[in-house]
Amino acid sequence: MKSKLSLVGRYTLLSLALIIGSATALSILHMTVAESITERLAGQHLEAQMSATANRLSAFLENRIYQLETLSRHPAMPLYLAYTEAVPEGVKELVRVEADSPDLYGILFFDADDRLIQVVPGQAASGPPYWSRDNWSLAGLPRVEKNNTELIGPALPQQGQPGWLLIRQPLRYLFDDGAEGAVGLHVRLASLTEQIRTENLAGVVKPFLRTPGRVLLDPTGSTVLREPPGLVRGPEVFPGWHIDYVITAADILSPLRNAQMVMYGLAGLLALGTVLLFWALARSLRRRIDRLVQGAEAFSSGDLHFQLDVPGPRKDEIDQVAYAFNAMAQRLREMIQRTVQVEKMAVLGEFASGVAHEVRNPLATIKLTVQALERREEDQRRRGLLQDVEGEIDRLNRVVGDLLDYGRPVSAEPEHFEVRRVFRQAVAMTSSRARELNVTVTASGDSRLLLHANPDQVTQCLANLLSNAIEACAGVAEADRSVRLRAHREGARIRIDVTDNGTGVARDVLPRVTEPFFTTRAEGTGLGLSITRQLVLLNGGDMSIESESGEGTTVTLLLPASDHVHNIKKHYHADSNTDY
Amino acid sequence: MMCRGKLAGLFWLFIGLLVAGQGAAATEPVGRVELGASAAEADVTVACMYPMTGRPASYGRDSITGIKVALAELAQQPDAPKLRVIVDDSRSKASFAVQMAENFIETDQADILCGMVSSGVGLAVSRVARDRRIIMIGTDHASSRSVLEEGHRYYFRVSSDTWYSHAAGARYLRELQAETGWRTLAFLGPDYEYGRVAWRDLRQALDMLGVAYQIAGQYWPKLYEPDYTLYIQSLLESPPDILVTALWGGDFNAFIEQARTTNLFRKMPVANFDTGGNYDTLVALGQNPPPGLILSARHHLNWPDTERNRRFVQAFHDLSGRYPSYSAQGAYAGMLVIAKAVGMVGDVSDTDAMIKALEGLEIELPKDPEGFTSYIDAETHQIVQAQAIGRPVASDRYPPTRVMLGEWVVYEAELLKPSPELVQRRRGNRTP
Repeated sequence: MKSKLSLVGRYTLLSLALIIGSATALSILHMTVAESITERLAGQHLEAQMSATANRLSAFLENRIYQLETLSRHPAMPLYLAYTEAVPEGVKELVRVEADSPDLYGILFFDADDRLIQVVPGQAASGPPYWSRDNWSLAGLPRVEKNNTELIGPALPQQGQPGWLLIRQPLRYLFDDGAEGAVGLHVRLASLTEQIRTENLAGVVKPFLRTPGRVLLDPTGSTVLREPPGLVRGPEVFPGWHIDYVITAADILSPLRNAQMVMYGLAGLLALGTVLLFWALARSLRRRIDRLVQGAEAFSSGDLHFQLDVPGPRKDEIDQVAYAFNAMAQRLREMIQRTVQVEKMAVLGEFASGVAHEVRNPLATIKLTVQALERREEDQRRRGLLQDVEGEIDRLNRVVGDLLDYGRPVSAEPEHFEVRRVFRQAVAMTSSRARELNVTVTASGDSRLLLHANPDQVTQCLANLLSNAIEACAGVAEADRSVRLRAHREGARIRIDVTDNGTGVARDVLPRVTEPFFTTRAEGTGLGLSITRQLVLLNGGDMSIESESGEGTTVTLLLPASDHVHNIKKHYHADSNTDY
Repeated sequence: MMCRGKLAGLFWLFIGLLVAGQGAAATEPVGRVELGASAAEADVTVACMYPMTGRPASYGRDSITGIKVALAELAQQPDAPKLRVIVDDSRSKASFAVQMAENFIETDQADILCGMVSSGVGLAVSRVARDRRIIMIGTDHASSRSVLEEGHRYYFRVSSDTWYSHAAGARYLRELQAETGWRTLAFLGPDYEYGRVAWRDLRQALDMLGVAYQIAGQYWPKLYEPDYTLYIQSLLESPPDILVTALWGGDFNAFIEQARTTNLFRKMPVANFDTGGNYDTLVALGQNPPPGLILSARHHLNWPDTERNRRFVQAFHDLSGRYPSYSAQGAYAGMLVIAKAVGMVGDVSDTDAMIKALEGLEIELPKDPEGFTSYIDAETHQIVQAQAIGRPVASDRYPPTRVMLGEWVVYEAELLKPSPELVQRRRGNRTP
């Protein structure tokens, strides 16, 4: 069953909502801060700054006009118009010194027809009209006048020459009102435009000088070819001359704006990355959860052997669930097996009781009868036959006894006892058969090891195992027949190995040797190992068998060790053969 | 202990006064200076005008030391004419210098005028020399207008001018264009005669070489401008591929100092082909000069690495305790040229003979690479010299500077001479 909105999908939506929400909140914060900065940078001080700039520019022009008045009002100055040779040296010196002002190219004299008739170069003089008058003219230049002062120009920068303007006042002869001319200061355009620089607002407000010819100049005196957007008309400093400006807080804030764009980009990438990541995660998760669901469905349909694939090193939550699933399946499988086994045993116990009840009494009667017949029988051949019958009756009795033991095992009542006790008893119980078959039985290990189990049942187990081992040795040469018992501690358990060098068990047969009624010997009941295993389990132990055909067999019992400290003084050396 | 302490104090006071005295001695006098022979024994009176106050004062100071080195050298030659050299402060003002030149001629009976750092001042005094028919030797002011448009038979120049340095610069830019593919160029020059002519010379040289480029901006700060912020901002707002500047001396140093606080040097290489490699600029660059500087000057301490150049630099250093700026070599060359011409003619009052001697006069100068001798071009009266352009490289050879120019690209003198066609075009129909 597919869910409409998976858990991963919900997490994806939640993450996207968080990313978009954060980006939106940051954007709002950014815009608020940007507006605040703009207001602080440009808004509050702009008016005062523009006023100061206008004052500076006006003061520059006023200073030049004052400088010009010094010349235009000098009584000897008109001599430059017609009688240059008559100009006194002191006046020439005055004009030269004024011309050397760093903001001027020089001082120019014009006649009444606006023709340039005298030039006095200053320190910055270069090119026309000083070294030649080619391509130099006032024609076409804008002219504005205020209070007897004419402002001509600007002549814009061209052909590698900077721009200039002329501030001019008329000259009049003292005694000849008819003749007139003018004197002008040839001013560097950059000296004028430099005045509009806005030191404090540099980078926030960009000022420009608007001239009467509608030309826009930047503070370096360069012509601005394309009018910048957002140009604001500023104060007028001379008729037709304005300080225009552009608030360019955007330039200052451009790093913030760029950061905002980067933030949006990153948020977009983050959102895309989140979607892709969660999509990949959802695919992987769904695949693995589908496998879990498949396992659960297989399990519910009765496939108890279904195992989920769990990669080795990865141990994430899904793996842990898979591990738990597999462990649960195994435990459930074992529990079911045990339940089945218990039920089987219960049935077997009832069956064995019934059989024993119905068989043992007749067998006892038969045996008494056979014994009576035997005593009275004088024919030796018949007597032998009767003894055989008696032997078969005993064997049948043993089988019934084994069936009873197996079907109704007696619950273990554990005691603390030394391992040598059970070793000694088991060896004694099997010693006659061992002697018959000429099998050497030895024991080794620490004989003082304390077991916590039922000693009779352990003795029975060991006797069964020794008996099997001795019988297994019958198939090998007499010289090689040996059975070894060995005991040592393994953590909280005592390990007992019963090893023979007999014929061994074939590999395909080995898994079945503990099944009831399975035997490879003609005279065996097939219950010995089954009973042994049952008793070991009853005592909280485990039993395992390792065998190699033709090499021998080792049966290992792991039984609970006693936590009681023994007080037996006698020491037995480990790994040495010990007479128990 | 007290007595020893007082003695130690007196000792350090004495040392302090000594050092202060030496410092005062190292400061050149401001105002009129007379060097060489006395008026009575002199064969020739040379009147020079140099700035001794304000930002260009170091040029006047070094020029005077250059004259002293030349006079000392001439004193070792028994046949050399005796020079009387008068130096006064032009204050970098044409009006001052013009009046001063008149006074030199009238009062001091100067035979030859010389000097001038500012091109505007040089041109103004050149007109005086032309009008008064007196020989003038330009040692430093470099506007090529002085020898081309405004050249006349009485005017000679003994250091390379804006044409030579920018003809070399144009070749360098052409090679750089082949290497980097630059297209746009901006010019930043002082708004006076020198800056204007330097820009015109560069454009003419680039056009003659067929270099394709676009002008990204032309900026004209006034001479001795203290603040270049406006221009730096404008350059950063409209950055060209390359910036050529004709700022010189303290102006160039101030520009570098301000521009290196911005990323201007990372955005564009900056070239100064005529004055940028001057020693005081190299000192000002410090240990870590800004990147992309392409510099040259009218004389270099370490180029050419000839015995003649080393001897001049060492003599200057021995005399003043410092290394010379290019203006020193110009003044030094001026004295040697005058002495050689007077020696050839014998009578300095024979102006025509002197002019004839000066036209084509060959003279070995510190700036001459091996196998070449400087000479005054008879047509333009401009000395013909090779130009070397380099980039700052680490060097402790001439302390306190930590860099000198290296990675030289040298342009032969004959290659840089203005062609007759160019001379004709610049002069028009006028004959000097």
